[in-house]
Amino acid sequence: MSVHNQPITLDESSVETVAVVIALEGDMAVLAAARKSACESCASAKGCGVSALAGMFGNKKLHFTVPNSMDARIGDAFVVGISQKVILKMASIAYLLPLTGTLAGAIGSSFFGASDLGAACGAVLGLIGGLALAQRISSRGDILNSATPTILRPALSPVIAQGKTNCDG
Amino acid sequence: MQEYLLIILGTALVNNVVLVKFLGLCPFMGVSNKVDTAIGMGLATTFVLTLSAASSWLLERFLLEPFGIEFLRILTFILVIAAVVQFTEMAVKKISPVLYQVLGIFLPLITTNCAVLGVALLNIQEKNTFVESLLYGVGSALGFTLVMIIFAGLRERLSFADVPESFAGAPIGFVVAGLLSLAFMGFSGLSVQ
Repeated sequence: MSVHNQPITLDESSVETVAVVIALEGDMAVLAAARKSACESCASAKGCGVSALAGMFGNKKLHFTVPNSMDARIGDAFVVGISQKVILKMASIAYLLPLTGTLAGAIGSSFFGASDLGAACGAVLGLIGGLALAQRISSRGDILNSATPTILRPALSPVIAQGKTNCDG
Repeated sequence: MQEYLLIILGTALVNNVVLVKFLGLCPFMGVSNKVDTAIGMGLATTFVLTLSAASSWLLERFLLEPFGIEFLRILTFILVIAAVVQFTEMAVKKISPVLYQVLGIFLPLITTNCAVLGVALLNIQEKNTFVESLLYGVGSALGFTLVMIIFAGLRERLSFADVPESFAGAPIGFVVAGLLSLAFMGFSGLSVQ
């Protein structure tokens, strides 16, 4: 790989993970990254029931397309990153808006004297409203444009050799 | 409304799920290296924990209690939590595939941990109403997120500190967690006037 001699720069403001190139499409590269569970960083993961449950739902490969800025070939491993601010914005849209809708629906129903079942119905309606709002906001062009990860460096750097990324412990 | 505020404050600070109840220590120690990642993880956990608390309350009230099968509570709640996690994934994928991709790649997955199950069980033990259950879940999750952020901030600073070699890494992390826990136990002195 021709990029191994390039200087490695650590971007402190980005969240990073390792991904492997699985296809090339013109100037773009399709990468695959494994979705990790929070439990995997624990030393007792092999003997833990919760970790086994996490393994059933996690460990999926996620594919994404990025500009091929490092002359990548199929099979090459790279460290990819995205701004921490973008991650925060994304997490707020995906989780905070539906949650706020749920709470508003439940508390609003309760305020108007609804029973527990009525409050539950209000919460479900609020959740649906929150999800709809999140869908509307996340389809905005500026959000979509900022959500593209970038290739930072080849994954054979000393940092990765130690098995350390910013995501895990 | 004051009652609701007290539930949130009580669960977030006085009965903090991590530092007072000692639940959810795996993500607390394992995924608290960067503040922004901790906030993202905290938001995901808040969503899952709140929905799990509410769903398990509904199941307890409308299925387990009426049929007298409370002995299946733990098994049922584990399945409910797994279902809520799957629902969360599906919902995020549906509202925006780009969002799903980015969060999936860069935020570790919160499937279930003992904090999520513990809050669902404690919630039933407290005999809360539905809205109180929701707030109990939100308060617990806010407490979890708060300590994750504080701990991540401390660990960011610790990485630049001159720590003796034998204490470096996890040992100093545990010492700091213990001191934080002592500090949070101070909140138990709060009283309502």
